Amino acid sequence: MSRYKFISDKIAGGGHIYMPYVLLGYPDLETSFAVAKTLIESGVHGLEIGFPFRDPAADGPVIEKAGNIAIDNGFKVNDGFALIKKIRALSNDIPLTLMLYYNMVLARGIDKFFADCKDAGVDGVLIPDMPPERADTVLDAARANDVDLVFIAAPTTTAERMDLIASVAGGFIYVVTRMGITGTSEHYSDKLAALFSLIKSKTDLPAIAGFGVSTPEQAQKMIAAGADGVITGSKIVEMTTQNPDLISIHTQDMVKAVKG
Amino acid sequence: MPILEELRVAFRSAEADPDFMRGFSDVMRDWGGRPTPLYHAENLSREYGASIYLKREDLMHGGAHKTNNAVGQVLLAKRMGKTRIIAETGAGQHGVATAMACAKFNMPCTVYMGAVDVARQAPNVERMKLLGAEVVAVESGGKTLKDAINDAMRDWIASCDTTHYVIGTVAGPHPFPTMVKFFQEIIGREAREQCLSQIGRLPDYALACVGGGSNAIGLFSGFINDSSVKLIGVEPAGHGLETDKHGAVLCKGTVAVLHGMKTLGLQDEDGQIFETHSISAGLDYPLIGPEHAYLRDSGRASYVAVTDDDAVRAFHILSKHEGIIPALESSHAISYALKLAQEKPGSTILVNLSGRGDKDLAHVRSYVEEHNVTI
Repeated sequence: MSRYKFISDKIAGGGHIYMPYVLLGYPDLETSFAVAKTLIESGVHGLEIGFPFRDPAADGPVIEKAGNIAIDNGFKVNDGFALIKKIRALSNDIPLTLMLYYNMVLARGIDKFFADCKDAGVDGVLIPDMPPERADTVLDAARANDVDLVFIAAPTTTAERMDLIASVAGGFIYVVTRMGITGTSEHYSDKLAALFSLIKSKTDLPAIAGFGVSTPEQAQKMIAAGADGVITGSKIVEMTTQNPDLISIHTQDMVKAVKG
Repeated sequence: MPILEELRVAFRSAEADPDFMRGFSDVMRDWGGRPTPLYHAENLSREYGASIYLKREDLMHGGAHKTNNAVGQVLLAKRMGKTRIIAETGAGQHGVATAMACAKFNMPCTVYMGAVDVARQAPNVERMKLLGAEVVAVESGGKTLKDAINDAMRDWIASCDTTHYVIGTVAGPHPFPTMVKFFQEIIGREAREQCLSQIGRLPDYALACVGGGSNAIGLFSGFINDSSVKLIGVEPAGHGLETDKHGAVLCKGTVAVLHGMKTLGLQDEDGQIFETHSISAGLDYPLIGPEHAYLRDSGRASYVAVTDDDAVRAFHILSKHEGIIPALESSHAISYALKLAQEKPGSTILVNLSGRGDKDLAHVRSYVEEHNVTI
């Protein structure tokens, strides 16, 4: 049984989801594990877990800079999988979604990569630079290891393309709130409500909104527009090197906000 | 990706439209200075023992072959109704070409350029600004061409409704490699005709430097069906292929996916792309246009590498022997041509002189002083 059922059950019961992002290895392995632990203890419903990459084309300056620091401090993919195992040991309920770029999957070997995901307890993989048109390159390996593929829908996504996404996607649909890259700036597309209803007409998967959603007010705005939940990324990365209590307080506020 | 599909359809329609192609050719001739000459480098030929011919893309308006592609894509952007142009640049030649085309066709232009390249190619930064472009110094990563492409792509993801991204080389997602090749094929087409009419035969070798690969693809395309013509791409060996300071992707790279293409790249076992090194900003790129990977694997073209020091020597040799100052990028191809001439005396060697070297004078002078290069 997929752990994504944990979130779909919550949504079916009228609730909403908070699924923040943690960048493994930033600024070092121990600290990033501590962040993941804090997030889980603060009541999140799932985690998006990032592997640092030198050329994160979908990410803004905050995550890019943090990723470079993590790699400079020695992050390797083997460390990343070992750390996910430790995170999985903290909770066997919440879904863990690994976000990384295609070249890292390719370099490890596609079959080995998905086998490692299964072994570490990863439920889904989001590869932002893999369009659904090329999902065929990884779909068999993902299915063989019971790993879902998570895809992005954007304000420009057409109905035809949403059909294609729905045919290969699992876990949830990652809805980007605006065109562009990750970051805390709030310039939401005016097409969001239409996008959420398009997604819901094509798939039963939860629609979780990210990119520029870092405050309780913004989370409520997304839920009002039709989101089943929200993801906060850059803001968590920013808080990682500040007062450790900040993440805990922020996360509890966000969990409360999405429960509405 | 709707924008790539929109671009693919627009490009196919434009290339099939005689009016569009006539407009492009007219601009290339009257404003761009085409056709560029084929020049018999007699002094070098005498001294090195082979017949060396230079395709003079350095004489093109802007000082490099980049103008072919920049004009083509800016005209296409106009046709698509786009109102803003962005570009990346390494050595600055593509940035200058795009800024020139934008000035002529009245489009606002933003050029992303790695901060390291902004410093080592200062004259081209001045030219872009004079032409009315905004130059954004990119501070991420190794602050060179790869990082400039990352930031240009980020801009484009958010702005593609109104903006066209003029990629400067045969890289990136389809249709870019196809489209850039299409606009650069004019180099090979002219060179082949000129070889036949001026020399009375095809060359034994056709050489070009390879960074992303656009001038090489342009030249090679003219001879791809002439199996007697050996195609050789010359990569930057930097401090040497045995070091980690080079940019020789076709000599040393492995399969990679980045910037919207599956190709070869210089990377570690985790798939992290390396920062490359070359004295020449235009060759400082850890990936390669995917068609070159194909040409290598199919055996139709071969790829070699030339060090920083040897490129700098060739820069001086061509200047002193022929009165032509080559771009540091093209100096890599010149260097290999001189070596080949000595190995294959009597052969006919065609080199694409892809750009002129005025931009490199200060950089070469300080390099020679710092590294004690014997000229």
